[in-house]
Amino acid sequence: MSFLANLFRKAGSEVAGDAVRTMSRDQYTENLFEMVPAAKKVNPINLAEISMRAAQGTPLPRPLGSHIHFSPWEKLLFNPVHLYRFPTPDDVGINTSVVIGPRARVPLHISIPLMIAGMSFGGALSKNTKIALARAASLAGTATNTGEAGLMEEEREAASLLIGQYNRGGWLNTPDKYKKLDAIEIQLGQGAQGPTPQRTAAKNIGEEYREVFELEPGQDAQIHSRLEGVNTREDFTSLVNKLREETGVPVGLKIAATHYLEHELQVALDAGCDFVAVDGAEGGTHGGAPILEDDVGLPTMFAVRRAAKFLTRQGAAGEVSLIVTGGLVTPGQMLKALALGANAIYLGTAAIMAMIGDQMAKTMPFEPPTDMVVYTGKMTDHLDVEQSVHNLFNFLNSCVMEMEMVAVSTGKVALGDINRDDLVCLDPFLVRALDIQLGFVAPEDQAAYFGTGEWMHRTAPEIREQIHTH
Amino acid sequence: MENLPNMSQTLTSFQADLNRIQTLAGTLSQVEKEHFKDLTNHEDDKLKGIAVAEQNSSRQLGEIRQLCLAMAQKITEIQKSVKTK
Repeated sequence: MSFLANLFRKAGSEVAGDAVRTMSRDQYTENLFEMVPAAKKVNPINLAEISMRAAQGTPLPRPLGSHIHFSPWEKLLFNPVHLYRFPTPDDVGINTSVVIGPRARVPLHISIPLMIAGMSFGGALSKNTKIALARAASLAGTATNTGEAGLMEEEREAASLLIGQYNRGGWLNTPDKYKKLDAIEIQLGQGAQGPTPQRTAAKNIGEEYREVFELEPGQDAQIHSRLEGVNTREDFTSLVNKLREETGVPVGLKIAATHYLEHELQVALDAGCDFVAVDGAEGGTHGGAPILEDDVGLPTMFAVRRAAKFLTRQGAAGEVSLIVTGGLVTPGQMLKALALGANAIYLGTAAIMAMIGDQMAKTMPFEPPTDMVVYTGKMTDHLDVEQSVHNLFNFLNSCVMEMEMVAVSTGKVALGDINRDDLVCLDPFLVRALDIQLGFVAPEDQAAYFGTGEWMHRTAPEIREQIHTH
Repeated sequence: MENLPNMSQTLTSFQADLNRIQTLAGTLSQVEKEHFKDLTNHEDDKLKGIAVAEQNSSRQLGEIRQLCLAMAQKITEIQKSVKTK
């Protein structure tokens, strides 16, 4: 054993030595090391995607959304208290429950402010994965979401609380289906793809998929850019009224976050929506074009603040629930989104990662771990459903327990009580955008730091220039 | 609805039941929380799994308690409304 180890070590040393010598002596233009600055210039992801585009000639279906961190969550910190206010006593339980759509005849009560995001059976995930997500959510006392799909009976049975997407494919849009839901989300867009049309080719559609979506053999599953029958604001209002009247459950709107956010939300308020779900630019998907993921939308952090501010300004905060999603993967990020005004969070990528966490070894090194959960994956039969339920339930519980710790530390008795006053900001520009105090100076010195108002009211580019100059 | 026989007594009875449920839920929530602490003292994966389930149950029992309190409050409001009519 020791002989073999020494042999491999010697061989490795020879190869490495030879490589270093070659890289030192070869001209740069002939040098393999040229790949390092080239890859750094283009970046390895773009490099790989250039090759994929060159090979395929069509838009790339990149899974799980953008790799760019648009929302600087690390620039926000929570403020612990000691004497100024006192921390919450040990024996006081932290209230973690949330009511979605309190104005609805039958509001949706969830035990924790985390829910499973809309990820469709067939279009995105396998049947076993959907059932595991539903079972874990039910154990945690929260809801899961159908995504843009038909109503899969097994998912309905496994989910104690099921939000269904009234979708642009039309697969869940009949009373026999939507009357079985605990909340209805009219899906007009998503963070990773906006309202762009999507198609699942018939060759990728199996028998169960066809059955749930009520497709003919050979028929593609097509998601349109618009919802059929909704071409004016009045059409949308009529739809919301009809669904609220017929079902009594909360009816909401899901859109991709956009700079037109306030205009979109005004239409939702006028229509009488019980909740709005805003999906930031970091939102995931089973496979979206990189340009839609990286270059379209509004980051989650700004989306949540703008949406919450707008609802407050319109007197709708507390009556119309705000659900936020898009790239929230740590309990800290989730709680910061709640503090900025969200009532609940949808988890997509993080939930999938939690499920397959200790099962990844089954696919490695030749297939990605997600091959166990996506509908078209080659290794979906390798997913251990029981283990997946256990893992996701643990993850949800762990996240909420961590959030409860911050509630105690900030002297609050409910996660919903944590707000912007419990945060401090480490970036002067974000201070203005998010209405949070700057951590560099004491609360009473904020105005002096920013120049008593006048400085604060200048436009962002001018402030940027001033800081740059100094 | 106010013309129903024994309306006031029925509401009082519902309120008493809700108060009983919320007390039970609160007590059980505390018990589950203690179980979580006890079970996490053991280096056993199965016991740790049960501990997490207990902790989650404690949270949901806490939610039931809050719901009962809210419903009992609503009943008080209904009783007041019935009396003033």
